[in-house]
Amino acid sequence: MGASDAAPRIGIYVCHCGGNISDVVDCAAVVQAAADFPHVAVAREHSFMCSDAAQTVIIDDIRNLGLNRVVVASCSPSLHATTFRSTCERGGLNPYLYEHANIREQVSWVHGGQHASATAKAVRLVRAAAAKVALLTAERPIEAPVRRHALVVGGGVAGLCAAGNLAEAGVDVTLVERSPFLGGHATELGKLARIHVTGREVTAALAHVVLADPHVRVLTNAEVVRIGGHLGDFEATVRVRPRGIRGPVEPDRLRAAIDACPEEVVGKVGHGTRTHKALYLLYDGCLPAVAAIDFDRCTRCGRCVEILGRDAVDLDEPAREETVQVGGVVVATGFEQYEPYVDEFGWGKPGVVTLPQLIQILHETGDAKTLTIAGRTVRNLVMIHCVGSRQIDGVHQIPEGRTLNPQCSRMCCTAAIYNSTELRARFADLRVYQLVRDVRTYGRHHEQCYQRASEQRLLFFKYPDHEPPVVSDGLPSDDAPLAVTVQDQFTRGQTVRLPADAVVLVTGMAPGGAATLIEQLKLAVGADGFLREVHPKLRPVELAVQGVMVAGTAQSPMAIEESTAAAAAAAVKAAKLLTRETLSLDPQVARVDPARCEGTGRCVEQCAYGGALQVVERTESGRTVRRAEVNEALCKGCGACVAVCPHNAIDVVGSTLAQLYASVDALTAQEVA
Amino acid sequence: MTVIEPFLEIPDSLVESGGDGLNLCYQCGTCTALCPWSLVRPFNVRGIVRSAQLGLDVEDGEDLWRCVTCGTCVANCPREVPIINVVRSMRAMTASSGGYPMTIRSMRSSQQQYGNPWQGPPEARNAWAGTPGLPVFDGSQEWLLYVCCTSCYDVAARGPAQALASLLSAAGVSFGLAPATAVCCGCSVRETGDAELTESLGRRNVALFRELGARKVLASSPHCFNAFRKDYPAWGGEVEAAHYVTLLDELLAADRLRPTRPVRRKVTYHDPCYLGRHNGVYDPPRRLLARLPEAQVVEMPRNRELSLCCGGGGGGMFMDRPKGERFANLRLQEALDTGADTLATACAYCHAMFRDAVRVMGVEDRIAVVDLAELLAEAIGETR
Ligand SMILES: Cc1cc2nc3c(=O)[nH]c(=O)nc-3n(C[C@H](O)[C@H](O)[C@H](O)COP(=O)(O)OP(=O)(O)OC[C@H]3O[C@@H](n4cnc5c(N)ncnc54)[C@H](O)[C@@H]3O)c2cc1C
Ligand code: SF4
Ligand code: SF4
Repeated sequence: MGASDAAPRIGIYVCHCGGNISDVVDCAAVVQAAADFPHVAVAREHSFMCSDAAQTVIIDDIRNLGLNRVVVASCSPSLHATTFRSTCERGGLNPYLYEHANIREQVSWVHGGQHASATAKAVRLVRAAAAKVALLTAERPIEAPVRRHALVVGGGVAGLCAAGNLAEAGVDVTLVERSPFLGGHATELGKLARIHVTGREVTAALAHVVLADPHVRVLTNAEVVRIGGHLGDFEATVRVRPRGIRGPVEPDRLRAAIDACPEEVVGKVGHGTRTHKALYLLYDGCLPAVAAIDFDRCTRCGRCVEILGRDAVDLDEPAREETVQVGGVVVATGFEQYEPYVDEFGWGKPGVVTLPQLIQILHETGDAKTLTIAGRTVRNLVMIHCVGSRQIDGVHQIPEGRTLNPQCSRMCCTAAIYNSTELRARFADLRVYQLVRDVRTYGRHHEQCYQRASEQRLLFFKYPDHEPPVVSDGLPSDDAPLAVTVQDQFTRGQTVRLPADAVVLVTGMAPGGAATLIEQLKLAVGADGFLREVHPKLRPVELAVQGVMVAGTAQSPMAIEESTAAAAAAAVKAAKLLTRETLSLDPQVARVDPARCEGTGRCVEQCAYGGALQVVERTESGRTVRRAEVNEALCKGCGACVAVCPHNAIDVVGSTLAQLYASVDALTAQEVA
Repeated sequence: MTVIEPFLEIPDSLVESGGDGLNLCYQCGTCTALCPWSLVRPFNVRGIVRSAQLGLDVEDGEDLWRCVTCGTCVANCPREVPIINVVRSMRAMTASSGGYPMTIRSMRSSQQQYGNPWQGPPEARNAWAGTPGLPVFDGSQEWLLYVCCTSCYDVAARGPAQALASLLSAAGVSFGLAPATAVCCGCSVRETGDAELTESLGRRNVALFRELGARKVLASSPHCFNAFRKDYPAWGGEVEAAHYVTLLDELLAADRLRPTRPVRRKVTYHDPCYLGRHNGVYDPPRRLLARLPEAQVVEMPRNRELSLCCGGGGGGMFMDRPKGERFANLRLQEALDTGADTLATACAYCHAMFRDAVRVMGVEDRIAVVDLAELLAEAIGETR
């Protein structure tokens, strides 16, 4: 480790930050003081140390003056420490022989006007840095192997798209989908706004690719129950529930078996508007094209076995667990439909349904000439937008246990309006009233949808944010079971009363099924409950845990094309990491001195990062001893372990106790002058 | 607090009767802000459209009859709502239950009885041409000259038609007058909402044009031009229609008219709504003015697409408005403010409205109202 063994020759560089520092701190005085610190070979100042010119000065000094340590006193290390480490590297110096002194945030910005004491503080900080840098050792990044294998959690459009793209990039994929069938919510949307193609067709196109790719293993009816690890090496335990049906069977026999199955199950789709048998296919053409048995409801009566035979049906198939080892994870667990609470805009009254339910009802209406909801022919239908979205504290009474959702769900305006235009086109006598706060048909081609609304003569009413519409029972004179009153800003703020045969609550998207992953991988979540990315603009699909990406509506409400775009981006980001042979990790993590360690395990108790520290037994000169062991990939170098070790057997590289003591001594030493 | 309930059978039938597109409105209010009525009194165009959407009564029922169909709102509506069509349909619907306003009623009965809005005897239609008069179209001429009823029967304003005829003669254009059996183009009944009467008048003219073998019809008024161009084709009237100013523009370009005599006037031009906004003719009148020797031409601040209506369209010509609500007075003031001594226009309604305004405002000695044809005739010295 060459340079660090030789006697220290330190270069100190004081930055003015264009006046940000030098307006308060007397930088020349700092330089003058620094020149006299032990081992200092050179001390200089510059108006902008981060400029190319100033960096070149450092590089030249390393080469010409034989510097083997560098300190820059400037802004915060989070802003520029990496910059100056790489400056050192370019000068031929190990980048870990660098120390940073923060004299902007810690001095000039907080001590404006106090020139003398600010300058004295800066001198002390630089002296502390110089004392510490003298003791630093050269380090190398830790090289870790990478598994060329990704885990995709969730088999909606986002998960399917991510899996397909990863496989295409040469990464093996295990796709885990909770339900027995692929596609997620997109399969429940009927015809999609703007493209007039069904969500099922879109899903099928994505699922076929994934199912046909030998590099993708699809586990349906499966859920991740445990997961841990780090970039390059995650391990997940997946619990796979029994499907009961071993493979595709001849359609007529399957139909007969389904008909014979006596158990009706209220499906999750559209808040229970739809039922299926315990033995079921989600819909004709669903994928995988293998029926499944819902064992929560199956009574094992055996009627299906009579029709399909034991080769096809296994009523005793056990659940199993399998372990998957992967280099990275894509979270594509999607969203949940928002479920209104009792009395929210009349929820609970017959004839009040949600938009997903309406879509389902419309689907089941087939070629019928009239729309029937709750047994009644619908002639007047009122849609209330923004139910469960854009909630305002104090206006919306949120029941206990639920959180206020202030966000716009983004897709519901377009979906509500699109489906209303479909209604108007199909049922000549049907009037559709849209009660909106704003119309947010925001994206490409959504405007046409809104345009079509006018052509189909939908009627819009704008209700004030603070006065939502009220749903009540209709009066006898209404000839309608329901009535909605709205303060209509379009009609001079007057109260408009709309008798209605049905009321549709335009519900949006609530956070989905990522709970286990959030808890076990410690993923960051926004106030709205959706997963939070590292940076909304610069790193939109990466999560703060390295190697974990987010795709689709697990992150926030999105349309399908946005979900698949995010999924493709997540796949690229994951593939970029997983197609490398090895990864370079920061070496500034905990390091155990085996000569001192006695395996007390106090450090493990303090460690906040699961798996970063553990006590192992090993044989040393014939004796079995207990020793702490660091997983360098998981350790964040926080130092909690260092504080509790009774034997001073553990240190954080780059901030060892010895280095910190030296720096504290220098910081607190009595001023000579 | 009153609670209102929509009554959607009304918008259904408005859509049926030409108001299609009323649901495009998203209540931005651009129309209200730009409507010339907003200069003189509160007038809620947006509210009218909303009432139409929901089948509610218009806040102030009179508003329905105030609209002059100038088209400022339509030209600027971001959703391209055919506001004027909606207003027309609403007028028709209101009239069918409550009848027309008094003044409109007498205009209509004249139309039904005489085929023109001014109770003019049909045989006197071409009296403006004097004796022995001008040849009537018989199929041998190139153009059928259709002079607006208002010019035909307004004895005090025969100048424009006479000037036009003399220019055509001077340029050697082959033309004949519409015979006395011609009826009103139908614009005033159309704008006040009676589609049926409009069509019956229109079909009479279409039949006449066909019978005479007319292929090219020259209109003296933008309203007639608009009707020939936009309404008549639906009834089989496949004639080539032109407003006279475009023909004069062509004759000037072809050097068949040579303006040589000085016209020592300071002229400002008023764009008639149905020539400008409704039919996009903005440049020919200005080119014509530029050819008048020694004339100084100035623009009013509101010109072309933003021209302020004279108040005569949409039936306004036949209604009596309180003095403070006459757009013609506002417009005349704008003309005076430019320092012009001549206000030129190319429409019989505008001509009449402004002459009235000059009298009411007592500015006869400061400004004259003239037609473009009159100005050009002034400049024509020798003919070819
Ligand atoms: C009413 C409504 C109408 C809409 N209409 C349209 C439209 O017309 N056009 C359009 O583009 N978009 C529309 N959308 C949006 C569209 O539904 C979404 O963009 C799309 O479904 C998102 O796909 P996804 O894969 O992110 O999530 P999801 O579809 O929710 O899929 C997530 C999948 O992950 C599975 N899963 C969840 N948790 C776990 C777990 N822990 N382990 C394993 N698997 C798990 C789920 O079972 C599901 O299959 C609409 C949305 C709504 C609410
Ligand atoms: S998309 Fe429309 S309905 Fe949905 S929350 Fe946003 S504004 Fe409300
Ligand atoms: S300008 Fe058009 S869209 Fe705006 S309020 Fe008027 S009619 Fe409606």
